[in-house]
Amino acid sequence: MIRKKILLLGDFHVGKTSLIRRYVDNAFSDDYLTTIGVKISKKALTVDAMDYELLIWDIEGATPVKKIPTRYFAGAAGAILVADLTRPETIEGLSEHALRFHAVNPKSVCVRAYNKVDLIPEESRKEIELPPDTFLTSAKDNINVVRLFETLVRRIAS
Amino acid sequence: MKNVQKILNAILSKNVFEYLLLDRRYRIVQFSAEIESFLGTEKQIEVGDSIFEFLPELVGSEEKMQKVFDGEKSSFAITTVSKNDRYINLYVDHFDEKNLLILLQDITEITKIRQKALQYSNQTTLLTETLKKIINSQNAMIFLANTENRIEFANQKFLEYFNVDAQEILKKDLELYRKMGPGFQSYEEMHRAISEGMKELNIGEDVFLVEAMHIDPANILFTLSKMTELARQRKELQEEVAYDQLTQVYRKKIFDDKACELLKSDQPFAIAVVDIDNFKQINDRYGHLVGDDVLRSFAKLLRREIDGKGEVARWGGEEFLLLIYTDSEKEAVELCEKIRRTIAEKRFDPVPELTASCGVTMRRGDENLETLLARADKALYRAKGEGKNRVVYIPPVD
Repeated sequence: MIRKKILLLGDFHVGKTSLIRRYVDNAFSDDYLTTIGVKISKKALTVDAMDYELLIWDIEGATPVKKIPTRYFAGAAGAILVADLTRPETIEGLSEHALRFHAVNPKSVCVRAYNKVDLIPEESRKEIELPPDTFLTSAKDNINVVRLFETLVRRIAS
Repeated sequence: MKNVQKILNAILSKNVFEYLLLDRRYRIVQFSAEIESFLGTEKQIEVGDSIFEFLPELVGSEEKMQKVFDGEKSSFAITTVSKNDRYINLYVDHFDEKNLLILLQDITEITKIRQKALQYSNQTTLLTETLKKIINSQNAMIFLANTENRIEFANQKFLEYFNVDAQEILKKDLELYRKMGPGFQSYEEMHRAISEGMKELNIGEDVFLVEAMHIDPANILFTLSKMTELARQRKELQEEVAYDQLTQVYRKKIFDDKACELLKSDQPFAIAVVDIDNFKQINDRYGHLVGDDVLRSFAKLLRREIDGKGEVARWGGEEFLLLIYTDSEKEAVELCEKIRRTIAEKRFDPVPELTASCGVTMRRGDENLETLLARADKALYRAKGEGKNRVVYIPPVD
């Protein structure tokens, strides 16, 4: 079994914890409880006939006055950069999160989640421009969550 | 020895430190008695177990741990880790060349307080972001100014209109109030003017509907809704209502309003009724289109002659009214006489000859407009009776 440390990074209240909860426990709650510090969840999965154990770091989100501490980044094989589709500024902020992550882990890979797509009307979703390796996700409606994590694992493996 | 002291100190100070000792292969060689319940491990910890099984938080930190072993780094920490329903700080310290010491500090109590504060702060930030979005989505320019002439907040429309950015506007007094309306000296003065009934504000060519209110003693909220196009249309409409379409002089209603304004004051003035002589014959002989042309030329002449000295209005048909700003009956009569002569000398093609008669009177005392008009009309009637193409003056009755 290959053990990999991955991170979820993004601004506060974009749904990082909810994505992990959906992926690991297949559960969702509408209640918002701010993550402080870090919480690690484990998830075993098989991708392309390889067994993995993911150590998923749910890290406290960035706020206008506090960036994500890079001390949590060490040794991560990859990161999921999460933004809230209803808050354009959180999408703009992803580039900075990616830069800071790659500064610590230059060889690591990232995928992006434009989360809370359930709040966007179906007909408007097609108009959203998606950069490469970016997924429209919803922890609430379980849209693209597994695909998101598995894509990151494939990118790490390749 | 230093680290043993640290363990002892921690326990003595009741800081709830648990500890583990590791060898160079990251296997557990020693641990504190309460470590299993502290970490909430399902499996019992045994000497020789891998540390990563119980503290996966250390996965990825192997390089750092190696440096601590080798003495290149004395320690490192992973702080505020949520584990087993508590928050812990994880310290990795050099113990000796063979062992690493891992100290686990329970920080649950203080972290939960911090979390509450962070939750409140984040929710406030979200609310602020939402309010900003609402304010920025408004079509009006909205800004908050304090009584020291500093803008505390301005929405996107405002920033775009004045071509300033959000930070720049907060820095100093940009004196934008000077650009608004008649050029105010402060936002407070602007607020006062609005409170006293000012509804519209001009900024350059633009017209804004303006509202202002103190949201607290130190801050005034202004809302400026652009209505330039509406104001232009309103002006056009007002002009359409004010002016006679054919002759482009005032309609009788506007003449009445202006005369009544003067009557309310003590300002002296004269009124003249000017009527084109034998106009019906022009219509009969040359047709109504020529008749209209004559009326247009006639009104133009009146406007030119009266320019700056009074007002011209069309009463109806071929009859016009003059409001003359003068306190001298001689001056009023002379002006009317000059107009009469100019009409008689001018050619109104294809009409070979055109004359007009004029009845004049002066305002006196507290007469009303009807009385004045009746007297001027009587003077006109007399001018017509005396052979037309003349000016007759009837003085006010004492």
